[in-house]
Amino acid sequence: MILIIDHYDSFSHNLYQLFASQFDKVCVRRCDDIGLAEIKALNPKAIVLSPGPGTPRETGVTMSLLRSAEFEQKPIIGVCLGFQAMMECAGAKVDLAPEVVHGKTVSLKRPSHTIFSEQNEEMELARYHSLVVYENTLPKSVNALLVYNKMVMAAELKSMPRLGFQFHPESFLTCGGPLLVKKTMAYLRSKISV
Amino acid sequence: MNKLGEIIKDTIVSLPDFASSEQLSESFESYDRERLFSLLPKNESLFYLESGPCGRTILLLGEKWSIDIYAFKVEIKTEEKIESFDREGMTQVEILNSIEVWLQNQDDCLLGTSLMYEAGWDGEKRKASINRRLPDITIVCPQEVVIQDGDATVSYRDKSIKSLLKKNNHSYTENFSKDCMIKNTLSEENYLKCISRIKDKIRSGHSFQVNFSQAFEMVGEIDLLSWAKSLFENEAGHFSCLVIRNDYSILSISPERLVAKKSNTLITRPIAGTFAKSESMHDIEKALNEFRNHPKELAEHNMLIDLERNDLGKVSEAGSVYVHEYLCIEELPHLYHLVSEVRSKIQEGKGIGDVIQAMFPGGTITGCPKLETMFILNELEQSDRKAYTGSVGYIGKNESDLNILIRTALIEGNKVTMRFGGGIVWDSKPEKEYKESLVKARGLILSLIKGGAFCDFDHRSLRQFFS
Repeated sequence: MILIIDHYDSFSHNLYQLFASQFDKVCVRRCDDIGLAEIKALNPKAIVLSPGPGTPRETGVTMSLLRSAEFEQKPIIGVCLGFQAMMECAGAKVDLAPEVVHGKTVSLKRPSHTIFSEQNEEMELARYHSLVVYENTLPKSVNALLVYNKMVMAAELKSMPRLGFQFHPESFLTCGGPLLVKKTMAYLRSKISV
Repeated sequence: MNKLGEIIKDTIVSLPDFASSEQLSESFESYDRERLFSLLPKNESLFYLESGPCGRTILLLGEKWSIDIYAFKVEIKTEEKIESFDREGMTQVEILNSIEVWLQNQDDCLLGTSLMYEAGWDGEKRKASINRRLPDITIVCPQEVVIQDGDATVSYRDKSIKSLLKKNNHSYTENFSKDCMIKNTLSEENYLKCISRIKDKIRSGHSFQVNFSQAFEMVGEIDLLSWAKSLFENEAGHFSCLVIRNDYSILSISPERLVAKKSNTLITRPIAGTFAKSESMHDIEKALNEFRNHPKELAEHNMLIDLERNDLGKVSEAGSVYVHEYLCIEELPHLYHLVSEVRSKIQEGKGIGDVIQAMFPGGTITGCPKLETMFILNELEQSDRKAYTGSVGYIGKNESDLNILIRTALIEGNKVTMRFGGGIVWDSKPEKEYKESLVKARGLILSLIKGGAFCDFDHRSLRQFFS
């Protein structure tokens, strides 16, 4: 089962559709409607942190989940706010973005990391954000995978199976979202067994 | 569902059948709204519904039974009795799904349905507003169903009644709103202040788009049928409707569909992007193309498509949600709209209640993310929305269709309330947004002025705009 933690967002069920069309069972739960004990009992094979309004401090169970030692070996994927929470928890800083972009795309060159290997050379990515993590605030434990104008668009934790996107793989504006998610899941699982 | 819930469900499922004994083809030669209007009975509860371009016109007459869902109670009324139950027993979704169970044996029946905006809080832990007087949801089983589809008109009647459609003795008048007084409730200055507050919320990451609205109010005795007839003749949108009930009426020239369910297919048709017509425009094709490719309009539209995909995704089979039409231009009397259509296949086991809960209130008239934005709206708009951005339509065994109540008037006694607004995003120009809300008001306000209403606006520029 894959657990999606919903931060009261209106794109969480696009993530649900994206994962449910590729994986067996996907379950969506509101971030203030589930506790660590229940997440542990559900024992999902991966956790997805949804986008949402506000800042990482307004994410219900999410920050304590990210800080808990119990879930260090659990694959976690963050999107937008979920990604920012993951980064803030690792020690990076979430700040105002230089511009507000909602519903616009950016075209970026495909990076070399394996999760992007089946994407087009020019990747068309959907952006919805007014806050951002700047590259120069990333701690040593974080590896930036995709950077645009000093803004981190994708990053992973070096020693944990955690990876996140500032852009929206679930948007209809992003080409190759399903493949990206599939590759990311496989990659994070390979990180556990190491 | 608890024990009380079971009792409510049993009561609903065992409501009297529609029991159509006649299926009659009437002698309407062709689609003729005027003729249909001339047959409307006076003082009778009714739902008059348009459903889409080239769609059908549906008339639901009388009340065999009705269900009114209030914030704290549900009232079920039949010809014999009125029963009132505590709402604690049941959610909105459960009540609506029970109604769908009743529908399974009713081939010819369409249920008139209306939802107030406040119904959108149902099932949420935190709510910002509650309807005190009006029901959140009304479901009416009519005594007579008239469907006009192109050249053909079919009518189904409950066997216990004679036709309610008859030669109407209502004398239609052109001065339907004489002695009425319209006023605006928010000054331009305060409208602009609200936009600036909204932009702060967008900057801090709490919303992408906020669909803010202002209210116009009219006081005075209005001849509703005459107003409706005049509006539908001159301004009708593809999802216009007229609802007449005991305690309130709704008149709308809505151009927008919230959701339709046709067997297993779900369809939503979001409108995002408004372009006012002007006489100085020479090359309309070129202007429309620029509008379609304008970065701000495009971004807003894309965001709403993602939002509609999300809402359908809650109740749809995995992988079945797709964008069926993208960036079409629809023409209305005073303006053009950018429209798209998203479709999906409903998940097995999901009922019409689940579909309505997933979609309502529409994303195009709240904003995104929806729930957080609804709180922002409640803080800035000074009164409850009620009918505005609610929904009216029908629910049937194989087919349901619901609109979004924009360009809408709620009539309660001698008071008429109308709201008009638009989507505020980061790069919105405040003055232009204010103007856009007035462009949308034109259809209703101008028709009231034509019908004889006086204006008591707080600024001369408003009077000029509506002259």
